[in-house]
Amino acid sequence: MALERVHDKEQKRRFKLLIAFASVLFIIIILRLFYLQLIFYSKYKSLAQSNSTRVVPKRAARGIIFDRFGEKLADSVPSYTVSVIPADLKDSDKVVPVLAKIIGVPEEEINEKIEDQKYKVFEAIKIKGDLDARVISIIEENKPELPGVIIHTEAKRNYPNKDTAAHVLGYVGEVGLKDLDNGKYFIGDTIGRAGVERKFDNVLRGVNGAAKIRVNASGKEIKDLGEEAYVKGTDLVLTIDLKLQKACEELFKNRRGVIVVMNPGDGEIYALVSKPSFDPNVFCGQLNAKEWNRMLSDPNRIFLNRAVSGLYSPGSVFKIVPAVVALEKNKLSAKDVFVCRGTYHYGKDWSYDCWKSEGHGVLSMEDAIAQSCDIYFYQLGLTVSADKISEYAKLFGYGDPTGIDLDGEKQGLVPTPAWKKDKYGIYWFPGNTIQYAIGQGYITSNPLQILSSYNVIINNGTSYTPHVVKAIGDKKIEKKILKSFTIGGKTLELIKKALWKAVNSGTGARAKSNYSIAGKTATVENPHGPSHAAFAGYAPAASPEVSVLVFIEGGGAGGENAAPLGKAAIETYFKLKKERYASNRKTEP
Amino acid sequence: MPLIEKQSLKSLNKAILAVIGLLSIISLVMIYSATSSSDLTGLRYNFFLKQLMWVTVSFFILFFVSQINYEVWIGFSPWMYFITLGMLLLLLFVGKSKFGSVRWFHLGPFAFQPSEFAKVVLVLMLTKFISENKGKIDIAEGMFKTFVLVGAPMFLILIQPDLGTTLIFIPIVFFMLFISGMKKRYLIGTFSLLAAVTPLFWLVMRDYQKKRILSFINPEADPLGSGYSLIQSKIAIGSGGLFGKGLLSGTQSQLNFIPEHHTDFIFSVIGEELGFIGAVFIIFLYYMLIMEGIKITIYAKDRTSTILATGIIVIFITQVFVNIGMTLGLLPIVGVPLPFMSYGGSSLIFSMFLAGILLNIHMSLKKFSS
Repeated sequence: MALERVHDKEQKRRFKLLIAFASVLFIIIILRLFYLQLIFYSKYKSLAQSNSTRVVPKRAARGIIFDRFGEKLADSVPSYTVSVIPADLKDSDKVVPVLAKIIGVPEEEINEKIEDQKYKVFEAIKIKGDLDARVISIIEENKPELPGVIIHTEAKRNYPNKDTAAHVLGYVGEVGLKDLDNGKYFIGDTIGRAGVERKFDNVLRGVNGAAKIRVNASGKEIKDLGEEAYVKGTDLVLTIDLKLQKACEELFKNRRGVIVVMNPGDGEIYALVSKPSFDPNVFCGQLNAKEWNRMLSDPNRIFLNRAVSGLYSPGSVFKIVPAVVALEKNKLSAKDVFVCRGTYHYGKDWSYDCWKSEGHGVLSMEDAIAQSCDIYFYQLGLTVSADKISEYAKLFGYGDPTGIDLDGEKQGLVPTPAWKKDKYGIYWFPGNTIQYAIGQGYITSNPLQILSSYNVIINNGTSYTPHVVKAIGDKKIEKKILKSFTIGGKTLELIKKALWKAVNSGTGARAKSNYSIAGKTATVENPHGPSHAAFAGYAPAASPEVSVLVFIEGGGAGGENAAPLGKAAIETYFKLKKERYASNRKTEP
Repeated sequence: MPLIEKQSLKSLNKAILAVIGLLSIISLVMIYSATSSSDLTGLRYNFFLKQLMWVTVSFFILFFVSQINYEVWIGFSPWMYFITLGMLLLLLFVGKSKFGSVRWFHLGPFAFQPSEFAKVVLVLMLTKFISENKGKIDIAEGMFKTFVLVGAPMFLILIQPDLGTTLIFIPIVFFMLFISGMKKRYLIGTFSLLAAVTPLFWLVMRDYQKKRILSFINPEADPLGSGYSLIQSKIAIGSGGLFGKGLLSGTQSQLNFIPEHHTDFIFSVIGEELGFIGAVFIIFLYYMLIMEGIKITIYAKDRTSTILATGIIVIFITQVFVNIGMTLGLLPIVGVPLPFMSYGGSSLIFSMFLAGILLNIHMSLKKFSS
């Protein structure tokens, strides 16, 4: 520059500082521009876009859920929402108190919502949703006093049968902040939170559309940017039979537990009851925190689907597994007998009781199953070994998820001596095997696994994955093999005969029916309280078309309490089938 | 000394004239773009035409002032200084409130900010004071006199309250004293006195002013409150990218997301619509103007014109940096227009007046050196 003209050294320094001052400030500006416009361009670009683009959700209607005969289990109904457009509020000091009084929301709360959106005065602010018709009519009557107040409808999920099949259907809720991240949802969208609603949320929800509008800083519409149409959600057809489901739920009264009725031939579940239950409608309206907490902290754990998430010892219904092992591995034959004197002594120090204290006397396997003799199975267990029982328990479907199309399935545990050593560092005792042989001790299972193990017998070595969805839209769900292995014909014959005998002249006599029911009862020891009552059965014994599992928590003796419910469920199934057959014949010319 | 020296317009500094001419053209284009949004329909050409009028008028002022010996203004400065102090005092009682502070005077259609006027007057007055007291300011008494002379208008502006303008005085005063050759210890002394009085200023500061400073520290904390303008301005500039969205196409500007986008926030419109390339080009123009000005201070024929030119240059430096820094979210919101660019007559006339003095100093130096 011109600095060579300055001869005073100090003055030269001072001019240099002035030049440096100016240059540094300009460099700062350029660096900042570089940072904002080049490095963070995309961030600010999208911020600018979202600033000036208002997305008006065009929500896809959620798919309807039907039962197997076309009865509605879940649909959507309109609900009324009241909103305010600040720009149209002529005099908010007059309008807000009137509105507050009608809808029962404090004035301050409304004013706060309006204040929160003070830069978008042309955009509707939701004040309250799910208003009843009475409130709507009052708002309509007072319309002249309420400029800027608008009412619009939103879809609300509705479960016409209240708590029936609640654990199958699940429930819906509003999307959370976490779900919003993936961009598929709008604020206020409905999302499945449990059951089929959750598992099949992707098909039920459809694809949202949106109308895009260019708006200015006050939210006023400037330009229509076009609309993307929504794609309606797909309907679901369940395998559930609403009438049978209702009947089974009524059987349960106030007890806690499970009934599952299904088709052993393809895995379709006709009824899946888990009690206690809940009304999924409560989540569709204005659920308050107090109510929600009360339901969550209910000691009966009403949201637990006990059929898939409840883990129990299977008890005597498990006995068919060690029985098959003994026969298949030629450890015992049909003619081999054990003696039951009410108590079994192992070594000097250990003794194990039969449920029948006076003893069963001399028993073959067939009678041991029919009478559910524990002492026969203690000795059978020791004969075949725990490892072999576990091997077959796995084949029958214990210890692995059944793969039902519902969330939250617990897979339970099939113990082995190696597992025990690994877990507790102690060896497997013969006493463990004794317990194991009658379905007690370490083994745990969910009720569906128990039912699946009976389906294996029914289908001569094969079971099908239990499922509740029959069709997604027009697409039918195909049956899937869950487990398949070879069981000898003689073995199957013996077990089936024994199960028939159990119902017709054994412990399951209370399930005896004209429909030729076969099955097995269990009284499951429960360290936390009264025994659980269980019954697993099927009918007709000769060629089963329906299988059932009843499990009553703290229900006492299985033969006393579970067997009658199993019988009632099966009889209802046949009764309904007959009725439908009759009405079909009537309607046809 | 003749009041008006006979000079041909040919001896005017061509670089400065070219830069100011270019900036004025860009300014008219940007004001047209910034005010053509649908909300202002009907007024579409209003701002543009008004500014066109001001540009024309102010160019006459530029040429007029360039022909008047700068010493005339220095001669007037004591009068103007006391009139300004009077106006600033008066403003505490009358004046229209804009954004909660009282800064504007309305004389018929002409509204102007005495604080703007004060900046120019103080530069002239300080020039006179320094050049007439050569050797006398480097003593305690002189230092104290400097402090009073500078402190009086600053204090009156601070309690308006207008923190931004007050702070802009600091580099101006500093560089004038510094370039005049004031000894470091007295320089430090003067500013220590100012710094010592500052806490008293804070006591009279109003809530809105404190809020503005707080919103500068973290504008995101209150995105819909006082941080709104800063955030929207950053979004506008950032979304401009390398090439910008094109004239009339900046969504942030056109849809009114940026408040004051034709006045104080005109640079946000530039950043959004002209992009990095356009913004850097305009910054380069300002840099040329300032470097040309510094050249004049160095070449100036005597100490008086050096000090005066320094004051004028630092006014430009600070105005440009504070305004652009604000739109970039580097500085808090202060009501400082961008010279030669923002909409408004008073700002433009002051800028042209200062540029005119600079041109005159340049001419006198040419004559001197020839």
